[in-house]
Amino acid sequence: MSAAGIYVHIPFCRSKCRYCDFVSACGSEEKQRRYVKALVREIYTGREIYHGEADTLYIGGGTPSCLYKGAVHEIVKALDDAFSPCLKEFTTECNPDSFDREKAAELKDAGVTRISLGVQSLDDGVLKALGRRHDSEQAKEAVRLAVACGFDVSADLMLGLPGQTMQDVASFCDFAAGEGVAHVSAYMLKVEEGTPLARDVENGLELPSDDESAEIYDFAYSTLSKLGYERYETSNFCRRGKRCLHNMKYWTMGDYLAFGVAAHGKIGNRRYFNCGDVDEYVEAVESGAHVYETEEMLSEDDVIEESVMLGLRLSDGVDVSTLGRRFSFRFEDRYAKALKEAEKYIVFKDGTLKIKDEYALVANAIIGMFV
Amino acid sequence: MPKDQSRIRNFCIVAHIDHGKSTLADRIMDVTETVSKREAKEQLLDSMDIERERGITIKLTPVRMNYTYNSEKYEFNLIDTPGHVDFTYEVSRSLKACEGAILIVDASQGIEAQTLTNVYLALDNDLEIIPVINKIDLPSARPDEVKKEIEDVIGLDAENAPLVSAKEGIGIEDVLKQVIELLPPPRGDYDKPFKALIFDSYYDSYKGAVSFIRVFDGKVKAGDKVRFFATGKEFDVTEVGVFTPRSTPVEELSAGDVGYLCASIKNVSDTKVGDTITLAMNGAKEPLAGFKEVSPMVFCGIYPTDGARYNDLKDALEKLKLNDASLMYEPEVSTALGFGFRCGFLGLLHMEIIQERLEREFDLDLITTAPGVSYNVVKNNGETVLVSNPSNLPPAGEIDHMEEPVVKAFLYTPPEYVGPIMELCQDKRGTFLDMTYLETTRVKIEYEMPLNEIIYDFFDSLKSRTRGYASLDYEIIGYKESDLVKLDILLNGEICDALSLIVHRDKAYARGRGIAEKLKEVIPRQLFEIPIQAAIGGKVIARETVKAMRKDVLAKCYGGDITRKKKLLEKQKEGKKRMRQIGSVEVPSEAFMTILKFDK
Repeated sequence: MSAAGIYVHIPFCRSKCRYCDFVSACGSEEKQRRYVKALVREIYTGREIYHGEADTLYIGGGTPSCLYKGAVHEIVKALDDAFSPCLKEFTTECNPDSFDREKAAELKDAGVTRISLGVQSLDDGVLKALGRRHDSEQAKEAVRLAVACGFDVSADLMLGLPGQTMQDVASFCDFAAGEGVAHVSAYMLKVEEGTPLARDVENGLELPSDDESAEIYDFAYSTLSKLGYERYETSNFCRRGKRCLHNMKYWTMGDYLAFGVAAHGKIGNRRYFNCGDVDEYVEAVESGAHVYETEEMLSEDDVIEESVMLGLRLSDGVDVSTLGRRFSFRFEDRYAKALKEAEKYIVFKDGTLKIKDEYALVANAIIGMFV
Repeated sequence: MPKDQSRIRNFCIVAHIDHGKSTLADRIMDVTETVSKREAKEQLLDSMDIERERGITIKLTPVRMNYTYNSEKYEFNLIDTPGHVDFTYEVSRSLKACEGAILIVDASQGIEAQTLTNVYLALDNDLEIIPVINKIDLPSARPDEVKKEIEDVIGLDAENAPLVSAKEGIGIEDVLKQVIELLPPPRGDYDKPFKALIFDSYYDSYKGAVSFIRVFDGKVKAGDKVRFFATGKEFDVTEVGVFTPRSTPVEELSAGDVGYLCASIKNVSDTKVGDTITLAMNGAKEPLAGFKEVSPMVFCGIYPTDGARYNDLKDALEKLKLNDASLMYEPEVSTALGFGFRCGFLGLLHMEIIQERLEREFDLDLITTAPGVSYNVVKNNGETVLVSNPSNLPPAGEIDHMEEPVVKAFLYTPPEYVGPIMELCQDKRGTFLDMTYLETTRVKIEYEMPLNEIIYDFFDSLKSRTRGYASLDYEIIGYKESDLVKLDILLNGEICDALSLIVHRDKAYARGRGIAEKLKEVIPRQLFEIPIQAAIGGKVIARETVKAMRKDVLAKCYGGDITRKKKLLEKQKEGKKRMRQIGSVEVPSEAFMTILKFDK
């Protein structure tokens, strides 16, 4: 069995962005300390459910970089004690406004190898509309600092933003390439129900149409390609050899442990989701109760379906011959109808199924044929 | 013991829709203490959910009541009737069971289309009519003018017409007094052989087919062997009873009575509405005059959204047919929609009501095609075929000419809307016949018009052009030759049979364009570009394009939150179920109805 990933969720931000519907809250240091304490306790109990190896660690959020000094150390120590992971990659998400020299040094010291920076845009107007705390200058500084400190740097780029121009996308890409950013996550804005952004839209904020968003994506894609970034997943681009190993586990049905509020884990064919409320989570851990709210056992069909669903997001596609061997079926028989229906949009060769590049943006419609 | 028929009054209430029939019926039941307070619900006789919600009566409902007047006990049989033009045949059936009718006229609305239709029906059946002015409590009530209207337009003496507010319970006793004093009692012969008219029937899973009857002569009781004239079949009566308004068994029904009869009849078609029942031994020789067969005028295809529920739809139609003899249906197959039924209705409201009942009472999801009429198609070889489904139209080369049903339309309106109405009628290929001022504020306009123009968007246009003031009534006057063409809709190059229409050549371009535009709105973007074309014969007259989808992807898939993604795909899958695959194109069920509802 291959090594698992470890995901740790930090639900704290200095303020909430207008488009965000993730579990995050502005937390006082006291609240943060109580949470990290609970997290550490949960990590220790994790020993009971997993004894295998782990080789990637991803601290996401929220904004892990806004945690009090020393928090990451506490978390890493607990993980070392519990799982003795042999890390090939250790990512921490950071926001430009809370990533400074001191933070960089602290993270470096904790063993972090990769920084994922929430840059989103280099247009100050756009950043403001999103409710981001940083401006373009801060973002640039953060990127330069991270690169200078020797981290592998991934920068987020949001597409299809209100008022976004091709120029914004172009300057982001040029900057990233020029500064040695190894990885770009370029994902399209989705207006989630109940967020301030959804209200802004109701009140007349104009978003690009689907067609315009698609244009912007295509533009970002071609610009990044020209600059030497390969697209390896629907929304992810990188220099050769710089794929995010941790995220790859999600897309290839690998195993991952999850700690923290609202975290999702998968070990073997068991999936579990931790409860989504910070206070409830903390209280549950403190009282020694289980923190996972839901768990499900994946059936053979679930595994097959999810493998296809996730694998089709990858430009390498999904290795269906291995899948077929594992579950003793012939893919081309089981999915004969879907293969016929999707014929024009896919490449099916040498036991691998993938969506043609030009249809990456309509992947859902194609995946829908296989589920 | 023969019953004293002079103490019986059989009557119905007729009125234009919404003039207050059902409410007056309720009040009469209150006054006669037919229904205890506990049971009293608004509009008690309207038992169908749809009737209560829409505030309309669809089925006729009889009820027996007792009333004491001048120390004499009287027995009333009241039959509540529908007011809408589509259900005229229901009215005419109930009239046959009565000697008199209460004519309700709304004190502010005055005489309307259906007021007249129903009065003429009542007069045709030799009924005595008592005019009643209702809704006098409304501030806009103008009882004196309305009385004059009744005298001028209908020619009934309205001087002593009771002034009533059924809602407030005002004047109800006056109405009952006139029922006793002015309406004639039945004059049947108790000693003659039993003879009764079936005016309605329904199916009860325990009792079998139940016939609603009006006894004209003689008597009948459980145990009698009866014969039905239409079929000649004989049955043993198992139960007779009256409506209180619940079915309540009685010992005997005799001359003058209105009630029901059960005889373990398995097949509803054996209890044909309009048929006469008599005794098997020494029965009557001649049947009573029956009813005109009603023929459906409006047709549409009805399909289950989920093809697997075809048999459920079939069962549901069978059950509805049991108490709605006017509903016609036969199986049909569409390449686009699969197995379904071509159904015939009396009018658009009837169609809507059947659809609603199918969906609600039988929990079915339906796709309905655009309503049409039936055409006479005269072929080159002289043969004539009746076509109600555009797909069954013979090839254009074989058709000599076609004829379409034509109606005489009566429109009643305040004078200020005469202009817009005439414009509308002209636009709908109408031929002006006549215009009369019924009074200074009311005009009657007559037009000859093709029925297929009336069933398409006419009511809505009429209402919006006259701010709801105009009303419409029509009668079929026959078929007329017309320059009709079949309009086909092609999706991605393939004809979608369920979207085909027969239209007048002059209207074809506008309709074709309208439908193509509308379809462009309702067909979701798919992975490829979809041309939508409207064509006559092989000639394309309109084209729209649904562009290929550009974006349908989950932006992020991080944190291992697979459930979100899965849910999204499942939702997508659910949505797909409501789609019909036409060739390579997925078309939402609503698309088939939208071609009805475009407005220019």
